[in-house]
Amino acid sequence: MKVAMADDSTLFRGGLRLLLSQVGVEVCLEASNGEELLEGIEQARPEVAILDIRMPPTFTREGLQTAARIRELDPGIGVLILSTYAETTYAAELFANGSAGRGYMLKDRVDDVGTLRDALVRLAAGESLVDATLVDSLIGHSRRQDALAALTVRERQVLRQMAEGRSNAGVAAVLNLSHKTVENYAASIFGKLDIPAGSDDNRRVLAVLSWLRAGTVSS
Amino acid sequence: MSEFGWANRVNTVRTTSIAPTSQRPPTPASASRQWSRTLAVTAVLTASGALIFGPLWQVSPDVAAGSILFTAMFSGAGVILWDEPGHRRTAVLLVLAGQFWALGWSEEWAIGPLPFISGPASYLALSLAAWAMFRYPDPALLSRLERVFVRILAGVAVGGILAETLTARPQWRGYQPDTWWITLIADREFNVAIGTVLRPLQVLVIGGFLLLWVLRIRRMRGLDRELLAPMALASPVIAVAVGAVPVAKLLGLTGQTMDRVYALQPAALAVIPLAFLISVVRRRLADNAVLTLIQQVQRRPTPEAVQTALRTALRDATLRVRYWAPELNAHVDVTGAPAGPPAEDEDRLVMPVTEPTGEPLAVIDADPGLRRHPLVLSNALAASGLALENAQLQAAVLGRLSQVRAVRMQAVQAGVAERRRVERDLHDGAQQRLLALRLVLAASDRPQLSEAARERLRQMNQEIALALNELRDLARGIHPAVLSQAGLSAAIDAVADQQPIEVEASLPTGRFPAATEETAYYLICAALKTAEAPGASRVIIRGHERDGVLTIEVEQDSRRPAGSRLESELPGMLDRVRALGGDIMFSTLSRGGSLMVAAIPCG
Repeated sequence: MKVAMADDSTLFRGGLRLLLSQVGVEVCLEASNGEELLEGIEQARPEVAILDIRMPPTFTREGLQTAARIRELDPGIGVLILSTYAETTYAAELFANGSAGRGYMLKDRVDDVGTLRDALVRLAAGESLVDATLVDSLIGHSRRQDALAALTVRERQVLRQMAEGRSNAGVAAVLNLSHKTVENYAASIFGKLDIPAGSDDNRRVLAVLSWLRAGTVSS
Repeated sequence: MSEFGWANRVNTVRTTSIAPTSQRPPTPASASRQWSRTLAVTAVLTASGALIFGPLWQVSPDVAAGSILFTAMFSGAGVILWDEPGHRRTAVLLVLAGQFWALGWSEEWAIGPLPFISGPASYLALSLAAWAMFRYPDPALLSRLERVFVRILAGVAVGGILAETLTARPQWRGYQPDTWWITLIADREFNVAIGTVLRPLQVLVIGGFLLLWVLRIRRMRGLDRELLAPMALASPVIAVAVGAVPVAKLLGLTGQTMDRVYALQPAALAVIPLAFLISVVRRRLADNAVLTLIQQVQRRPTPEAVQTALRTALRDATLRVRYWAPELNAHVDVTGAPAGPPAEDEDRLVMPVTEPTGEPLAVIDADPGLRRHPLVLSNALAASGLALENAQLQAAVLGRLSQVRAVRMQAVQAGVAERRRVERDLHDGAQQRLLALRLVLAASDRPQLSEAARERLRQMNQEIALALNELRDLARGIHPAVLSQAGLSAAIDAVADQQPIEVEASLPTGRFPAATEETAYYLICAALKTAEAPGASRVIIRGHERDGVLTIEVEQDSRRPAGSRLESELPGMLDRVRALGGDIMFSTLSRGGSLMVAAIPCG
């Protein structure tokens, strides 16, 4: 597997390259900022680009801007945004134009090489991904605890997996359920929570995240 | 303090000094003496006119009555204008117009050169009246076109009649053949031809006169316009009255009808002195208005009130009073903000006002048109002296205050910038290093290592993770990164996500200056914290920006405990908002709950 990475810290890139090499992931392109990454990306042809959200020149949200540019260049390249902030605003922005192959992960968690590799594989396969920590925080703080309480334990597990960006097949694999069963759970959850049943996986993450965030489902 | 630096250049601005004169209002005794003199001189001049008419009184009493009205009015207006400063020559023109008009009817004496000069005298009278009208209120106001026109008018009027007279024999005019006369060319046909050419020319000049007055009144502003309005209004009447004679002659009117025209013409032309009189009265009322206004302002002489009074009194909305603030060594405007002199290329009347001791008080700059009304100006300045002194003290304090505010605002802004920098340094420096270290440690954790070594690596990783969390909390406390990165709306959304109570936030998504955003952010955070305490279940946050002020409203459905103080509820927030020139207000809602409204200026 080939990935590209952009982060302004040489130390961080070195550590990440070392870690990835242990699980058989090759870093085919390294850049210290978004522009540099975009210059080399067409030639390097990575499956996934790992982007720090804060990069030079302004250290604000260059990662998200670079992600949008990568979508224009080649929608097939997955993007993993690394952020030190558990802010759902950024995740929502990342998924605003479709969540296929888009992932938002906390930088703290990249040392868990198993999770990191799993994330890269999912993104390369066009799935989406939201850091489990962020989903935990969203579910924990959601002001719709009453509605959430109406879900069964199994349904809550499925909801969590959907919020993390997994497709029905992904949820089925993680929870060891049949594909058909997951579909039934999903329909039941959408009915109970009054989320418009978008079967389109590409939009589902954003719908679930929005529901958890504001209580109102964005259309 | 470079923004006050211009103060050193103030002396280089072209200034017109108009010293406040200590002109006393006329006492009743001197006023009545003045009126007696005016009446006496007018009566003498009118009597002189009446004498000049002589036999006209018997031949044509109507014409004589009309003309004596003309002479009386012109004489009266002239005498009254004589007392107005700067109008003596115009006054003389009016008096002369009255006398020459009388001379115009002296032909009835039929002696000496009187029949010969009576024609040109009438036209000279009209030309002098027109010249007086254009000279008022200041000959400097004459445009080039008007100067040229007045010459053309005199040329056509006086020159034309002279040409007609000098090419005629007295008997052609109905006088005795032995009447005193100068004839250069005695050719009847030529003489008639001159008349034929002259009448349409006269009508043209009258049209031009009317047009010029329309242009003139449109050009004028302020007091000038007010003073000239009566004349502009009179000009159509004048045009009709003057035009009546050549038109009547063109139509071939004679006898009784023509006499009626001759009688009505001077009576109608009396609108000219009437217009002068109205203007004089207006000018004197303007003086009184100045005094009244300034007296009113004495009661509450705020810097703004004094400026407003002067603007109203002098009819100049552009007038500015810049008060001297000695502590700042600079001039300030009515709000206390530093105010520089008018631009070098701007034509302004600049008047420094000083205290009797010579200390600078203020500098007034006004429309240059006011130069023509030095009396109104000096009255206004003299009358506003005490009010100006009081206002200057207030303005100086305001100026000091606004400087302190500016410094305080700069301090807040510098604080925000510094906290953002520290947060960024923590994030991009220490945090990144620790994160990278964790990766290296994780990569070093190989199965080949001894279990004890791997355990130590994991422990180190744990410790670094804890340090990172502490560092992140610290950075977030110093400055929330999402605020500077995504703006107020996104930052408050993130805060609202974490609240145990329902929070509905609708804030403008645009960006504001860093200090405004940060102040609004911490204010809302503080307000949310206070909402928890009295057990609110719902908080509504609204915001909108208008005219450079961001207004934040936080409404909650629980009442604030009675007697709670703003400062204890939102520690430090009131100071911060005020440091930016804003304010916070609390109110209890009748439908239950409470509302906090904060206005935070944007920059």
